[in-house]
Amino acid sequence: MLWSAAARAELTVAEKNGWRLYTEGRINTFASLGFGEDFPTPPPGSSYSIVGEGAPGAAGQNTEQDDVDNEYFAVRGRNGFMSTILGLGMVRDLTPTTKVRGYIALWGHAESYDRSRSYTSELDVREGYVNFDGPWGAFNAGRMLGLFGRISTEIDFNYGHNFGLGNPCGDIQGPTCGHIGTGVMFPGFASGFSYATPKLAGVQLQVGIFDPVRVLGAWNRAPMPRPEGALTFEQKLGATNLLKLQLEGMWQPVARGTVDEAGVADTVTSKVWGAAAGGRVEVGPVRFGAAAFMGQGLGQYYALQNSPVAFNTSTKELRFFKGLYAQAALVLGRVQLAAGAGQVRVDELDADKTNGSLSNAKSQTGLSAAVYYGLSDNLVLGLDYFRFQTDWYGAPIVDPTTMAVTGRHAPERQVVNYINAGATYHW
Amino acid sequence: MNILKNLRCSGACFGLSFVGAMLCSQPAAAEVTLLDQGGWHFTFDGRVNAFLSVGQGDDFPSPTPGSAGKDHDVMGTIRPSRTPDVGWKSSEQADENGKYFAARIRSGLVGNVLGFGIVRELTPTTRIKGYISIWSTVESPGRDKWTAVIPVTREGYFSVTGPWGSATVGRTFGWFGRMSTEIDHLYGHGYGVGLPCTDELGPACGHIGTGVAYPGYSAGFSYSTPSFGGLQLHVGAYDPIVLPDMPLGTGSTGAWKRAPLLRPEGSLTFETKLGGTGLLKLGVEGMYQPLARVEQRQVSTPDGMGGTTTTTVPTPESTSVWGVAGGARLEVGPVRLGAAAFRGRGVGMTYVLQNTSATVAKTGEIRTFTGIYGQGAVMVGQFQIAAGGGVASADQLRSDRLDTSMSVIHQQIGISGAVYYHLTDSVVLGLDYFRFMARWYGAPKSVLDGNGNPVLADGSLLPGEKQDLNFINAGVTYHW
Repeated sequence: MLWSAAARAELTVAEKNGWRLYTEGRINTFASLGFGEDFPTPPPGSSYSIVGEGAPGAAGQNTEQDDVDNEYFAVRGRNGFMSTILGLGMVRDLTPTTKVRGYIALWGHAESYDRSRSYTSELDVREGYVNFDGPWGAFNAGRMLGLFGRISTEIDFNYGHNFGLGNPCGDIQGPTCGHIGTGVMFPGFASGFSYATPKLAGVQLQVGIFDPVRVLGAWNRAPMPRPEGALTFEQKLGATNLLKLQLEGMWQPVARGTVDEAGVADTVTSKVWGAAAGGRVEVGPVRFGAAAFMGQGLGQYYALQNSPVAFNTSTKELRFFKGLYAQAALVLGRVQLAAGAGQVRVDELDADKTNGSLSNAKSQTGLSAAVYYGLSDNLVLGLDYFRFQTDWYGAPIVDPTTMAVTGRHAPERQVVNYINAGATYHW
Repeated sequence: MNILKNLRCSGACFGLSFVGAMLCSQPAAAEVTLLDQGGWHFTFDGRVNAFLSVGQGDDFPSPTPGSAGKDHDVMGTIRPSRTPDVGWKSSEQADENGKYFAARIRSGLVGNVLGFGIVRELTPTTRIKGYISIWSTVESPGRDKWTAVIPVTREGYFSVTGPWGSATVGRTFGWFGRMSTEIDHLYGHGYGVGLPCTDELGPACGHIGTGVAYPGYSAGFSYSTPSFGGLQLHVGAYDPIVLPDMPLGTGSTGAWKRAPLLRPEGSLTFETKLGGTGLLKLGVEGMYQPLARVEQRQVSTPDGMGGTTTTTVPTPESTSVWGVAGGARLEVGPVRLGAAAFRGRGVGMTYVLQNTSATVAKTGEIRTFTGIYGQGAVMVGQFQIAAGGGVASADQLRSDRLDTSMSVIHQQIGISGAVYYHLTDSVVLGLDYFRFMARWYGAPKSVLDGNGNPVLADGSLLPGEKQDLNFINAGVTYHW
């Protein structure tokens, strides 16, 4: 977007005897100033908990940087939406028309874990796959980005926060979230096999099966791989304009053991599923994208997020999530201006409505704006703003004698603002 | 990754001819020299693979009923996550009947690997090579999507090789167990999975744990002589290991935490060509490591008034772990045969000197283990058809027959079959089957004493627990 095609392409390191080693990657750091409210507290005299208080990433943002008024003001040096990455690929022609490629990407961090320099800065191998690409389509095997949630993530990446930071999504360690968690559903990385058809009149089908994920603490059995799919229509409009539409789906059976009243062991089954859609359009200097998702047990940030917001900790029922996201950008020479908004909502279960011990997450809302300046093909300066708002339902008030719900505590709200400025070198 | 390459050098760069040799030294199997500049050579090797792995059978067994008072423990039931131990315990995937049926997408016996080498000629006959390999897996640890896949630097060494032999310094593959591992890599599971080491995380084990003793990686120094008519001696000294309390929470008092000296390991190999394409390789291996601890012993001494005074005296104790192993592999026409065996105290069942719950008894005694493994393969064009079988077993200690609270592991048995198809010299499709059978001795029978505590009954054992699991794995490997 801000850099030429040549700069964005793989950088060939060496080529010999039919083998080609290439690299791609980036290094970035941002000064990230946050101010606003720290995690809310229940009103004096009440004894309920607020979801997310003890589970980072579940809802809102809980730090240890709050002052006596429970206000948050802190600056960190952080990675951006994408962290420090070293990607290495080895390509070879399998046949005159089919290439095979092995690719491994190592993701690192700029910031120390939880502001402590005593932790080692560990790498995360987010990608490690083999890809076969030919006129018959493409087949991938290995660790790669999932299919469900790609279009919203792609919009955020392309128009929103590729060279920015957005919501840090926690105070501990990045990479950060951009609009993920506020309307963008991140697919996450998983081992799997996927196949993509050739594009037929702009239409492409991608299907895959991925390593199953457990919903820890509730649905610990996940015996079968998870199918995910995406149907895409992509069309160039003139020389530089583009339209892309995408539908996505995901389904995973889960199970857990129970013991009935007679003491007999049994198995209960359920499923996590999701559906998503989105589109993006590029006309002249204008870019616009919008996406939505819904599904059961998904989580707020990434599909199959292990978090107590995904299920009721007592009944183990999976909660239902909905997300909506829109992002616009204007590219003027080396300058890109961007603005976005999104929200993820968590439906309340019947069991939640009578549980006086908990205030459940209701929604997370993000508003963002950014300006990026491409100093060169490979070096981008970024300044972005993100407003992160979390709303809770407020805990039901339950009469301790009759156990009847007599009302509801005032819903909690947290608003944190971030201003992030930094530079990204990418190749 | 170097363990997989066609290294026929005279030096300590393992003297092995793993997958590369199996593919008849095709160039793709060796490291790729990508840059030659100013006398420096940059090499790059690696692989990426993924397998659909379906497992079906028994999850970790429950104790055989019959212990007095409360159930005994089955050895291996308590273990650190993501660490192989005895038996095969899934990550909470058992159904209400204790059965396991689950599919994952896993890395194979060799994970995803990036290997970087820098080579330079020191003299016209001597070269130096620095090499670092980074291993990772495709699967997320413990089926948790957001848990980071943290890479491991399994190798990081330099070697100097000349007509006088080869010296290697750094983190390398050990010598003890190489022969059995080499057979498994070459003929069995170099492009397969075999037994997933754990349900949580790979890379997988192939026949390791069922007859193959995996040397593992350690810091060390080693030297290999030149080949004298095919005969070569390899010796090394490696960073010592300790045997701390295992497993967690069982109240073991058997820790051996002092390991002051390096561990010598060695191997004597004989390798000769048979005709144009045939090969015979024999190898014997050994290792030894002293261990020590300071125990607080209570000593009674006369108090001068006709009684005794009991004091606690720090008392040094020492023992050792040791192992001997041998094996051979033969290549005649399309046929590949390999067999290996090991025996040793503290060797363990999976990788050598692994501190599993079977290694040290509660009494502090170190168990002795035995393994035997056979593997065959037939190369038919681009196909490789393989079958193998192996057993690893733990000796029963005298104290095991007195401890009514524990059923000790007896044997882990593996039977495997595989078909590999070499699509090209760098892409291999694999389909393999592995049957894993674990057998426990059974806990000594117990009765309740007058205080309601379980005590040894007649010295006989309850029926031993058993576990039978089957895995079918299918996937693809790209290597360079």
